[in-house]
Amino acid sequence: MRTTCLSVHVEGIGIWSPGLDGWDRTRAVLRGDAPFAPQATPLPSPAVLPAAERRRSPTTARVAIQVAAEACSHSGIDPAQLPCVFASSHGDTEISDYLCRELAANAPLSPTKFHNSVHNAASGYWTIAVGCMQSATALSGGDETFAYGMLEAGLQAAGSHRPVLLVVYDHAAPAPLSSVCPISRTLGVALVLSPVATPRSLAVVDFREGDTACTPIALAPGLQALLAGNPAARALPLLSCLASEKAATLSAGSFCLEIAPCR
Amino acid sequence: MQPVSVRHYTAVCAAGVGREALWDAVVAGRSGLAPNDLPGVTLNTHIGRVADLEDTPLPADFAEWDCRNNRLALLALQQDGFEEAVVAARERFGPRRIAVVLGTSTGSIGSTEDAYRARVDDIELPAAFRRPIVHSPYSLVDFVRRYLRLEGPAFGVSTACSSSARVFGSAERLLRLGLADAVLVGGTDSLCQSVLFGFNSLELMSPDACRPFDVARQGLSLGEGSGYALLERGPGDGIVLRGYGETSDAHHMSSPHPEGLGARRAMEQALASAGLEPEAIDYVNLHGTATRLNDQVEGEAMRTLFPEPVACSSVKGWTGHTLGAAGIVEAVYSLLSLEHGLVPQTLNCTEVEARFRDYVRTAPSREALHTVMSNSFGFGGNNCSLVFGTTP
Repeated sequence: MRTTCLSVHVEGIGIWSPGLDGWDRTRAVLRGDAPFAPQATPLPSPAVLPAAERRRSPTTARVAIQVAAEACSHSGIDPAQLPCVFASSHGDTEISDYLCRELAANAPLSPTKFHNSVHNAASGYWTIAVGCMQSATALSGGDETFAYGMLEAGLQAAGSHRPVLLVVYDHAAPAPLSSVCPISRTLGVALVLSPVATPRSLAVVDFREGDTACTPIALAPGLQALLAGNPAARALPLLSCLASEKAATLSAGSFCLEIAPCR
Repeated sequence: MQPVSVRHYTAVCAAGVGREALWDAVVAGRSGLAPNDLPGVTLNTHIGRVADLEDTPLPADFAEWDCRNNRLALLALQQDGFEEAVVAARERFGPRRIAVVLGTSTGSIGSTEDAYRARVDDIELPAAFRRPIVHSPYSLVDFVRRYLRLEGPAFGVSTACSSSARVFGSAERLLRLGLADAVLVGGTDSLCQSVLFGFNSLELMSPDACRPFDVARQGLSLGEGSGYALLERGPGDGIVLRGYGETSDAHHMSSPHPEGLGARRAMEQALASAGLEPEAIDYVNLHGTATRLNDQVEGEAMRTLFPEPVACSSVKGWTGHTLGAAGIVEAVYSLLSLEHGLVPQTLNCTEVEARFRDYVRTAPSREALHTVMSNSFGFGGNNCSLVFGTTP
């Protein structure tokens, strides 16, 4: 195994998905203290977004902003000061569906929906909502979107010696896009990552290169289905370690993440 | 920051295929823009369309990835010995030590548009269009990394019109922190109906060829393009990335900050990371989209940051606005300017808006260039500024 090349500390967590609304509930579910009951749940309506922006913003932005706000609040860091990395495998498929339907029907496009179609719409609405003038990027990494989001956020945190907000999300695709876009569940996860340990640090995450033996993480059957239905759910094994305060080595794209609890 | 070596670079857009053709068009003042002839789009505008993409499918092994965007990406890879340079780097460093970071905004959404238009029952996408990878924003990166057989970290950056400028920042961090020994950066965006009708809905498109910074400018012309740079640690003996800045406006999804604050901070950060004062910049390749507001705001940001006027121009009169590819295409124009010692004019700009007359060039000028800046700003208030230089 190659030596550690990069490490970050987890300072705050946010999560939203039907049955996993917030870190408190999710931690209980991941520990096995509460059942995973993903009923139909109204999509989040984050208070941090002004009413007008809430109305205009696409669904993915509202999910992403909900979890971003929770993670920042958990970390105690002012979101206006946090550079942010947003990552999504498919972006907003509701908007893609809208654009393609209207174009096929030779109908005019809504200018608001057009500017919402950019992959960085969620990060744009977030920076506007919290007054963040720091760097905000938007990535896609296919099935390994969570891994590459972690990598970019880790590189930014370690490279600029300051905490960084990571937000990873994907939204269930509508028909007919669902036939080519294998995302059947909606989930957003956010982490605030710091280059140095603080009194609030929950765990340290070391990035390691190369193949190594990974720790099997047992997730409840319902969560396995979520893992298969949304690339952002690849964060769940990491969150499971954070919930149970256990050390583990997890596979993440072309590298591994070694997790050790801080308390 | 420690300078990062730019080992090889190339680009393709309507103005030319490969470095020599791009530069010939600069010297000749020959624009790549022409009246819109994109099938199914009846808008009265000019576009910068790359010829013959319709007739050049990807090799059979890559049929699954075949789409306009990836065809354009392959065309650029095949210019200036770029593909060979990547293969040599792969042999030298090993495939796992080369990362791929590419920017795109449209990605291959044109293929999704086609699939919807081809529906007959209004329910399902036709079977022939059910290739999941071309309906994913990851399509470009996935194609390029497989085509070049690279196995390092590979991800896409999609921050609208700053996408393929921001890849330089990600690459610098990957190199500095030792996660890769070389990084293939770049980006590709291709013309499609959603961007043409979308920018039309925002009333930002010019009927004639765009005229950046002209008093009579009427909006942007859309284009398509693709380009790459191969980056390595260390100063090397040629051209280097000296600095970069990345900021947000925190103002509006599709309008710039009224005082250009985010843009100015991106330029300030780029200078600070390069350890340079504004006086050190010999030429600024402006974002210069030719919309009324964008040019106004960028011009004011230039006046504030560079009280002593600096030579500036926008090359969008040659290329059109190549959106997610604008960062790399204009980085390549900036590098060509450095190599040739020539500040290109702002093509189609005949009368510069009064406040920016001391900045924006309307005629080419031969100058000794050592350090140049390239600006890219996008929707969502996403700003990126790059500084390139020759090794001292």
